[in-house]
Amino acid sequence: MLKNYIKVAFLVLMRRKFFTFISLFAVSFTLIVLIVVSAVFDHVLSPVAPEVNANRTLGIYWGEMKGPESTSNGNPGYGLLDNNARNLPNVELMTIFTEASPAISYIRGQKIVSLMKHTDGEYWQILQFNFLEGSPITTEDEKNANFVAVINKSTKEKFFGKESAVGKFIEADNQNFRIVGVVEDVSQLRYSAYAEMWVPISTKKDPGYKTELLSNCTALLLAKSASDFPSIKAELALRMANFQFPAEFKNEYKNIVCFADTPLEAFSREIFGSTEVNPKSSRLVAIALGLMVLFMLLPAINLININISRILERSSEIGVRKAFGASSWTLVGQFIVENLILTLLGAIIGFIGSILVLQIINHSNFLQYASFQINYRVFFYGILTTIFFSLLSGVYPAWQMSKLNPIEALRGGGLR
Amino acid sequence: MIKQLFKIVWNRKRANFLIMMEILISFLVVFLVMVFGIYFIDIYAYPLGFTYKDVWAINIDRGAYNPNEDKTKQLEVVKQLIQVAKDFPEVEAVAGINVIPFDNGEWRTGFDFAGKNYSPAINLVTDDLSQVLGIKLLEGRWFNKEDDTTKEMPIIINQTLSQALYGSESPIGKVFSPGESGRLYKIVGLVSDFRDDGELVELKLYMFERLNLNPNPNPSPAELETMRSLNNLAVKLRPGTPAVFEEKLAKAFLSIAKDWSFNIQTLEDIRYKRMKKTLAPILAAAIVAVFLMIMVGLGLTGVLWQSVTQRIKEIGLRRANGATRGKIYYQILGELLVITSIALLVGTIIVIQFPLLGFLDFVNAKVYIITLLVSWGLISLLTLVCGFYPSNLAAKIPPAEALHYE
Repeated sequence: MLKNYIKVAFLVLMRRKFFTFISLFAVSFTLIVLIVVSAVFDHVLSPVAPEVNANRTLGIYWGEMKGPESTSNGNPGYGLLDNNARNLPNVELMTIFTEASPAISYIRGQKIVSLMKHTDGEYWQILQFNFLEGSPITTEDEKNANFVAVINKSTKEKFFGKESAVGKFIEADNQNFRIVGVVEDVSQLRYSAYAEMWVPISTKKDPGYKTELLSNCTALLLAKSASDFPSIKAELALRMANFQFPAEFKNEYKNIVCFADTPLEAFSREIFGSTEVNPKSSRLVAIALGLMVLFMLLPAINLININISRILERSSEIGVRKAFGASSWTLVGQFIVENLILTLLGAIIGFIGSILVLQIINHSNFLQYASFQINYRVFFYGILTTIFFSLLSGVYPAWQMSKLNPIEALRGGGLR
Repeated sequence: MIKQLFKIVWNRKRANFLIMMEILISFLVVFLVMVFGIYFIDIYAYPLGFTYKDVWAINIDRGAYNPNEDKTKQLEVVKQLIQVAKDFPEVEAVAGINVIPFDNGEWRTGFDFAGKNYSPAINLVTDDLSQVLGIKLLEGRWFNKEDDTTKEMPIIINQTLSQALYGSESPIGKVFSPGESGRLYKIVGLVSDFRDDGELVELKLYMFERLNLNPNPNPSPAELETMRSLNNLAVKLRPGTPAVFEEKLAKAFLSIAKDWSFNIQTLEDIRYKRMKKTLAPILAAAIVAVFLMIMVGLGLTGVLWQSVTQRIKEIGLRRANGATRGKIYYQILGELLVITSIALLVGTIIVIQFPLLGFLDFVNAKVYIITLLVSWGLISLLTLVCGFYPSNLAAKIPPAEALHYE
């Protein structure tokens, strides 16, 4: 039965090539857009190297101080995190590091800007970088303020070409660092891991960072497991509620908050500006899905129109089948299968097309070191989307078809 | 004739409804992309108010803020930096500036004026800025030494702010209090504008306040605090200065302030990055919209073609009754036009609701109307192009063949 449907489906596709072309164009274009978008989301939010522990990691990305007249918010500062976020329950490791900021070097009259992160030793244990040579910055390096640096592959090539870099020196922002390791490039969209050069936080020119409440730091907390998240969040909230402001801020600010979030929670906190302990990340997912369906609406109506046209063309065939006793449900089933085959064909073209589009984006250097890939998760989303789209565009025409009057249909008449 | 067309369209309402929906959604897509495009084209046209060629922005990073730091010494270092930069033959002028043009940061100040609250963007700048950025004044004068002795704080405002405060009256010489005790603003100059967010951000209320790097021998703590916020220098170079000069300048700066970091960028670079950030999403949306329209166009052609082959009998009958080819041609196109007009009408009604609901309310009426006209034009063009081949096909149907079809 199914084999027969498939055979008929291919015969129909071959009969009117122009219609087949338009349908495939519509399906594959729609899927290209959706697959590219899901590849980008996957790239930003999924647990891939170096964030291999992402599913049991929380981050403190944002804080806010409030007073009677002033409000100030942004990344937390080292002082706030160091004094309040250490030794939270069920946290195995904690790291504090700065945002990547430009550090300038001049080599042979040329200027090289490297985005530099100041980190501690734990950073390299929570995030598992892929080392091409050498080794990470250690806790000892941070304690003793050793002038050592880890750089990424592209930066190594800018400074030293093909030669090995470990043991050599690099001057950045007028400070001289000995290179201890070279890592694989990390995408600009991976907030915690992205940088081009990493150095111990204790080598900062000015020691004032140690007392800052809000500045440019982030903390990552590696929990024993994801089930410990609620207790960690609760304890952090409690500590924030009992926070005592130092003398110089006492008059201006009365309370302070910061939160331990998963990447998705942090993202929705940024978008909705929520200051609850658990931001509603499900709302963000719902909005994203809603936008996807909205985007599919026009292609779906387009395909519905084409499908109805094709059905009208086949009305005599349908009339014959009805006259010989095929039930409406059989016909609906047949048409839905036919449409599914068409959309799956479109999906194949769509996947090939999205690989091309992603390659173009990767090579355009628009986002640094970003390499969007179609992995099994994206493939799965793509297939799911295809089936949903197929039903969206196939059910209404199929229902219309099953309603055709057999006598009218045999004469080649159509819908009113 | 038109009544007849409506009747034909109504008779095939189910098939036509879906076509109408398709045109309607296409219209909404085109409108949303065009409204951003035309909005940016519109605001791009206003004058920038300064030139950014051959200007470098140097950000000074003094490290973490420390309430007990020696601010008087820091001020001395900043003055030294300016002097050192000026001494290079490659440099034409140097100025201190609080907010760098095209940069994301913004400072605002709030004050009450004639019972209304205003919060213009404010920039603290030194006297040389007009030279560095080539700022032209409409009226009055730029800051200079005369201002050292006045007890009011000299400010320069842009036309938008002048219009808001004084209407068409000249603002020069006016004095007002921004609310803080003992402080008075005196307007000494009027510029057409200073669009420090670049060409793609709405015009806004703007004012310059004078930053005096040589205050009286014993500056007050508040004055020193203001100096602390001076974190950027703008340097105008002689045209044709090679990029390697940057290293020379950076080395000279670092020999004066070892503990500070300096980030040197050209204004052109900052502008480019900012623009890229604004335009990239719109460009992506526009590319997707173009493909959507190609898809809709192909689909519409197919559907109309199919409906013509389906209506051979009806068309043949009309031809047999004496309708000319031209009449058939215009009938098919006319039907399409009726469907399109209904879709556009519904679409326009929907689109007019947007500003009322607070969505797209940053767009002014002029841009809105132009966008409407352009979107109507584009959608009508699209449907006409799609209808061209099927109508031609219908017109060519020979009556005899059509009638014997059954």
